[in-house]
Amino acid sequence: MKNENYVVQSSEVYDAIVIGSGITGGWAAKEFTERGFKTLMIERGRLVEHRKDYITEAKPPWDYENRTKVAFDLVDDHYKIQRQCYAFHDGTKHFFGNDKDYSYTTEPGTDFSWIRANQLGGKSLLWHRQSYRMSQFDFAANRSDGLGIDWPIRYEDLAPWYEYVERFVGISGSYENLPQLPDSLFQPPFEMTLPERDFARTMARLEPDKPVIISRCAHLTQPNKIQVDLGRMRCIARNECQKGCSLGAYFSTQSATLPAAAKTGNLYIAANSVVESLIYDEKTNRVMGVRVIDNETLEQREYFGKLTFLCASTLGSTQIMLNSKSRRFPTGIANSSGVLGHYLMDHNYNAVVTAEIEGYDNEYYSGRRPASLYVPNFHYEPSRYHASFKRGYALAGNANRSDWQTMGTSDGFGVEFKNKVRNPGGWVMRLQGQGEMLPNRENQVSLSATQKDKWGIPKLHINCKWSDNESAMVDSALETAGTMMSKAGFYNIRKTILGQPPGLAIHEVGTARMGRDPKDSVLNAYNQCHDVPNLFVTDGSSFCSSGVVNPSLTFMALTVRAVDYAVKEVKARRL
Amino acid sequence: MINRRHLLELLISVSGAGTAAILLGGCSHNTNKKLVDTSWLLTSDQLETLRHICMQTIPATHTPGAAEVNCHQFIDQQLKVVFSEIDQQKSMMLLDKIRSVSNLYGPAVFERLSPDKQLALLRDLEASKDPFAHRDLEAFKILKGLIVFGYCTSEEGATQELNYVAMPDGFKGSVPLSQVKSAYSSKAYY
Repeated sequence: MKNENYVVQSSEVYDAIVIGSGITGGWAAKEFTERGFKTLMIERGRLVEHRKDYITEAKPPWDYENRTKVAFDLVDDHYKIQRQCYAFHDGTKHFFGNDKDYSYTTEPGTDFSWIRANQLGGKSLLWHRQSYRMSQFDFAANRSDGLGIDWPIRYEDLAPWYEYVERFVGISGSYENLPQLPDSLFQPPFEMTLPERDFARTMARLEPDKPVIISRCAHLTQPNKIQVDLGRMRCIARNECQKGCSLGAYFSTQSATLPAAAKTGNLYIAANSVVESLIYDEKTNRVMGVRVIDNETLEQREYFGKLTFLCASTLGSTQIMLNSKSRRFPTGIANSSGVLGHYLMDHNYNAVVTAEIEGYDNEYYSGRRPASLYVPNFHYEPSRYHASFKRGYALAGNANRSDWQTMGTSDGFGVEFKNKVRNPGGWVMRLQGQGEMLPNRENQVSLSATQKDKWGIPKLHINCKWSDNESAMVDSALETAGTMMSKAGFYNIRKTILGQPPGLAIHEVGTARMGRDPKDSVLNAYNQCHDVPNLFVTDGSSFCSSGVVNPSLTFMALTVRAVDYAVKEVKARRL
Repeated sequence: MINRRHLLELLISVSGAGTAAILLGGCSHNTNKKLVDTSWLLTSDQLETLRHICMQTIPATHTPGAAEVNCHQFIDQQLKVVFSEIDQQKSMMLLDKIRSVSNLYGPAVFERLSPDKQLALLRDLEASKDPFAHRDLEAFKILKGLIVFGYCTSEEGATQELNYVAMPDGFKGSVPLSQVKSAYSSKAYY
């Protein structure tokens, strides 16, 4: 990026404003700029430059002052929530939000862990990169069982857009032809370990409705020309992705969409700009721009644009909308339906089963695979629902050998113990349930009536909890994974319920949902606000149901489809 | 391992020599902080006891042991900086107890006992046998976990005893263990 593309003060009326720079914001900016739209990307956090700002990349553990651990006082004061994320450590903490600055409140008796990544690139730097298409069954689920409003789109509407983004992103995976998990456009899959391959073969014979496949992830295994031209390279399986990857081997804003957008010369970036609210003109019924508070100086300024795309994460976008009040929209912009903030969902990852695998003593692997095993949802339509709950879950995990990280407190001393630490231990299989969460109106975010954050913006108040349906699903996932492992001949099977609150799958969706009827939804089938035509919301807040799979690929497909629609509408002078 | 020359050429072509040097310079952040001989939390007596526990747990062989890579000083620092006061107290009380019951195993404090006697004491501790109780074992697990962690994340432990591979050339799902010999970790280092 050239310096002149970084904006602080500007009176320019941009063709499009994109709020947020994560996975959806990056895509919106790329698509608009490549279509000739002068686009302002607004990011509340600091700039992070690809490569240059990956300050801990390739840093070995002995070069950390605390060997990658984070000081107790620092965690206690600033990262109590963020530390719950598996990827939080001393080498990544600079990409996580500070809980003190980004505080929120929760309803008594409930808990929600909101993981924050507020810098250029957002959570695209930290995501787990697992990438799946939602299926025809996911988009039809609400209509099929009546648990939520019908999605206004079907799989066929999104399929070409999935393919469009996959060609650019690069998804590794295997073609399986499963109805509940449509294939993507794949680069070669990561390999399974030998016990995993045998497990997959055994399950194909004994549990044919539960195919065991390699997970699909946004890592380059055979980069195409588009990716090579952006300076991206093949993944070498370090699996230290959340420190940043100078190879650009995994998809992020910095490695992919941002350089593509910057190439056009149409991209402008306003960093350190915390959006306080949208500027709404009641006469024209249009969003004219945004009011922002400077992240550092706390000064207020405004930016203007003809179109606004909210891509600030599910809760971030919803907070901005709720805080954009006017005479026409006293409870938040585009909220004539009253559903804005309701129907918050995540995925439930609380069921974990482990077991030991006998044999394979001279079997090992090399590299650190960023992918896992995956067992797609097998309760994917009402006729396949379990008797005790609705919808379904997937299982994800792996089989690898235990090592010093897990054997460190085992018994022994001396040379014998040293050898134990040195040598790989036995094989362990781990499977974790990934359950769908139902859309409940009671799971809601609203603005605190009394508390504001350091930028003077009302804090988000979150009232969200698991329902009996999700709990029953956890029990079933434990049972199913245990049975699969038992049938495979594994032993010492252990079932654990993690007891984590919603939020920690970091798949929050649903608080400004799409729908056909403006009376019960915020957005139409193109992620456009029913009430305000030049306002689009394309992140996870648009979801009508959570589905089972990791949602990011769907965020991307929805975003590019919405941009395509918006551009056509502008060109046809309907917008 | 990836062909470093090939990767270096590719990296320089896309990202310049600076980034390539960072990635391929043998982990060349290399501030290589050496633990200085200052106490963070533990008394000199406690530290000396801990040093001998390190020697008994992971001794020097053809590679350095835990004491040689200063695990005891590392643990002192970790306890002070990363652990809660409760865990700090538990650890210090255990070290004091080890010193105070040493006379049951021989006519000296722990560090002056013969290696066999030290080992006998530690084995009783690990088995929660008299004079040790289960709560002592809980505290010892903190220390033992830190000995292993400190050793395996030290440069010597990770690269001489274990096989720390900063830049694997992709993932291979099936490799004979006899070819690998030792392993750093199969998992991401979270």
